[in-house]
Amino acid sequence: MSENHSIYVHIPFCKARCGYCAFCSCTDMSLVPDYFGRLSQEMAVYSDRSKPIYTLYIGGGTPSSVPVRYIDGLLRDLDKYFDLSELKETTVECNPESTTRELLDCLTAHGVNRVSFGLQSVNDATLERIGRLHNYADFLAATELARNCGMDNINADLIIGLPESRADFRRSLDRIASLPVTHVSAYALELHEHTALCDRLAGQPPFDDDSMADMYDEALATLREHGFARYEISNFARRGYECLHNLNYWQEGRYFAFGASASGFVDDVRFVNTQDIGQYMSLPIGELRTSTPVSLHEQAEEFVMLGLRLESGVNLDEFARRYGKDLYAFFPHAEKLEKRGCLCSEAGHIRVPADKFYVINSILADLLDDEAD
Amino acid sequence: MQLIDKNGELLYNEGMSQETTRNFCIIAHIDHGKSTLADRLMEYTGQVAKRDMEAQLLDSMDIERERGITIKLTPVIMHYEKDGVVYTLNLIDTPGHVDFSYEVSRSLAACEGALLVVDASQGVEAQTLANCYLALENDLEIIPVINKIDLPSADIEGTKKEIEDAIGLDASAAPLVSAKEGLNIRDVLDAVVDLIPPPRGDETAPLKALVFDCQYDNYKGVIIFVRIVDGQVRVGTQIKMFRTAGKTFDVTEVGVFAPAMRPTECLSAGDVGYICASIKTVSDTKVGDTVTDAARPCEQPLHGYKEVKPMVFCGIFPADGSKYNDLKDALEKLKLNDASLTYEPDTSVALGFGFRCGFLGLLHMEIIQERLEREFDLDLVTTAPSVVYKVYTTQGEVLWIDNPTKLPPPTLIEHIEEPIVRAEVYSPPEYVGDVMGLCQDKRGTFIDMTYLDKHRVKITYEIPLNEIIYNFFDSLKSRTRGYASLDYELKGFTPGKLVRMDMLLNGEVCDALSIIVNEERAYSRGRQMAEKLKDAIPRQMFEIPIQAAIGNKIIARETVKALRKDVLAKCYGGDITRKKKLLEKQKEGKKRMRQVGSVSVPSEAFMSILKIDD
Repeated sequence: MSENHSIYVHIPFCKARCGYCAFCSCTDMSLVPDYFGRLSQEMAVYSDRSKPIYTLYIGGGTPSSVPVRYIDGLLRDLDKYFDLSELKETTVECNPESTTRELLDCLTAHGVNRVSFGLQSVNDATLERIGRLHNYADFLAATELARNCGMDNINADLIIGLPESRADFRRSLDRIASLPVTHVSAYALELHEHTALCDRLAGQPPFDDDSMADMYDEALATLREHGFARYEISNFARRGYECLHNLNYWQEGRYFAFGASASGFVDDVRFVNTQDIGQYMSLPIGELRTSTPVSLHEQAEEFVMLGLRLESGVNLDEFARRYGKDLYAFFPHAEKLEKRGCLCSEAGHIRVPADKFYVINSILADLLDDEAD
Repeated sequence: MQLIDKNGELLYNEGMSQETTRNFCIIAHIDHGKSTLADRLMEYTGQVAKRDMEAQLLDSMDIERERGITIKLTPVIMHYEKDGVVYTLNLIDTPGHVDFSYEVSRSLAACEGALLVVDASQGVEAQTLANCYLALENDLEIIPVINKIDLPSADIEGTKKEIEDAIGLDASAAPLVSAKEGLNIRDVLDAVVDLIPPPRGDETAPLKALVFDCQYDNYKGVIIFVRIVDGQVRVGTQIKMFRTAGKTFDVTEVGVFAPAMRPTECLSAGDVGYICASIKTVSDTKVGDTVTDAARPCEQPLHGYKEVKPMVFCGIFPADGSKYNDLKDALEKLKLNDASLTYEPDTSVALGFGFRCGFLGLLHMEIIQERLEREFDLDLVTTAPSVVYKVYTTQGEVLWIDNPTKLPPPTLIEHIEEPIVRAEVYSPPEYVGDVMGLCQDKRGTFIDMTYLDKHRVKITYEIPLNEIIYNFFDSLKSRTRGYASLDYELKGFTPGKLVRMDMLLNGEVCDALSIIVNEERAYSRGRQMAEKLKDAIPRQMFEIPIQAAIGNKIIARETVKALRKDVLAKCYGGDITRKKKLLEKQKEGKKRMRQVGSVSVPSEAFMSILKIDD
């Protein structure tokens, strides 16, 4: 079969670095012009108009933090170097405080139909504590603005386990579930070394794993009550608003990737660009990437590793068609895990039962274990 | 011929008269300064230049230096001139701990005399006495040496009196030294020359040599440490051992300990040294055996050593199952110079293939485990120590059981007897109550209490050995702030209400965790073990009940709650390599776990139950 091809573009710029962020980001806005120049060169080198692009995702960093003309230029370049005629979905990540009418007009003019806001919490004190530049009112205003501009597919990111009370988290959940957003991503806080938040908390996460699991269950129930269905461990959507771009990742689809630290998967090769923005702008284009070929066997493992994160699980026929072998024959431990209630199969799919969704790593470790026990 | 070392000192003089040779060892309680005195003697005789002195030179193993104890006997040759005559002094350093008395008896058999070192501030201790009696049994000349006279708390006259009263030795002329300060070391050397008799072997008789230790060298093969009793041995001599009849070996090297091995031309009657003869198979030599000339053998072997019986047993398994053969090789090599170590293949459902090992005591067990890990770079999982039980079956058989999993079902057992030791605890009077409380807690029977002097009481109890091996020593030390010392000897077997207690993980017995325990003790031991396991077993996808059971009866229960979150949430911009790496790490972690039914148990869990406090 021919896989879907998506494109991911990384914009590392942020007005300020968030306390929890260990990601590739940069607050030196003087680098913006050169960075976008470089992006353009990189896309020109890897230009491919032979495949229609399925989805497009511009993430960061904070894409909305750079002057609108750069986003405009980027979208023009993408249209020049790739076939965007069949695009199903284009998402741009925005922060509430930097979302302007000018930006939204530019995005809609280019056919961007989805915007993802980093909300994280509705509690202003929490937002300040974790170094966000916006407050809850900014988010409401940005959402309203987006809807007025005709952008009705809106995601809000929420973080579970921030340094705030359980009641604060509950409030975030209640508020967000009743807002006119179509999609909620609820990620568990990960404390990464050398981040401001990690230092402030002395490496101690605010909540233990049991509380995290309780809060996750709370999120699941509340969102479900308000019409958001879980379709992936951390992603909830109203019917028909599942993020196609992310689904393509989970389904072992292919994607081009541009920008510092961006990772892609094209022609059975996974690659990742240098994380260092200075290097990204100075190395020859051909030396930006670290590439790793992925064998068909590994692809089958990835297909299951990623697919089991989906509520629907892995389609057994599709697995057999892609990898030429029955899933149960490929993974000798699958049957045993089913017997133990760690996996279940129905309607031609194998999936993780609802009560085990949050311990998927242990299940995967058992499933992908190449040793018999 | 003469062998002169690089400093121009006489190292070996062929045909040296036995009249100028003295073979001796040092016996002392731990901490009384035995190794320090040995260092001083070597320094004084110029065997080691002061600048090359490393504290406790003869304790060459890392473990020995770190713990400040001597485990292995170590020989060294020294030269000392007195009244114009150069004497050859062979010193064999010996261990002090109760577990290693067999090592002591080995060195004693190679000597004619012993220095009895007593700490002037501590007096005569239990272990000193025990070793002293061993020396007397071997007809050794014993020279008391009073050490640490520089300490403000030194009581020289009191110590002399104690030596005379407790051991019956004349201490009036005992050298008074401070090994630490190097004080009066010459007196010790003079006493060795004057008082210890020279060897009385026959140099012309057929070769007869006692193997008192062995070592394995990757290039030279087995190196045997010998005391030549009669005759001579040199390069080219064809030798044979008494116990491994039939095989002969050509001697490739002989030498002395200076203290490093230094080749010489020949070893003859009265000498202490080593022999290499390209012996590749470890089992071809045995400590205690007699070496003789294959062409002209002696008629009778020396009487050798009494076989020592292990008292404490445990299972030793490689943490990585594929290292079984490495463990086997390592045990074989340790056994070479530690005859008291026993081992036989053992299998466990939980731990796979390993060995059931027997030791003289707990310290011995610890030392062996540590040496296996350090010297052979092995990761081990060990099971709880056990003693050997005498099991009378309903069929009228008597079984010796040292492994809980081998215990027959209760219906086939008529009764069980357990080893009892006579334990002597020496303690300052203020801790008598604590010591007696502990002995009482450990199912001890009071025998006697004697005030040795104002500062020391000897408390004697009969206690089941399985209580001693279970944390007794640590508890004793902590209750007496380290002041009490313990000595014990096997007294016999006595019937006990003993049962096998199993640990069940998720309903399945984990064989490696079973123990034999006194019935009354089982409840608290079971609860403690369940608690330890609960902490050591990581949460898994299911709730894991941990139960302690006697037969079908559950006596304790803990629960490892089910794991609820291990998910890695975010997939940054489609970068799945991080997820893959994390998963690989998780898989690696799983490999270090043992599967007990559906439960993954880390190696640490097996070890955690060994560290239970009372």
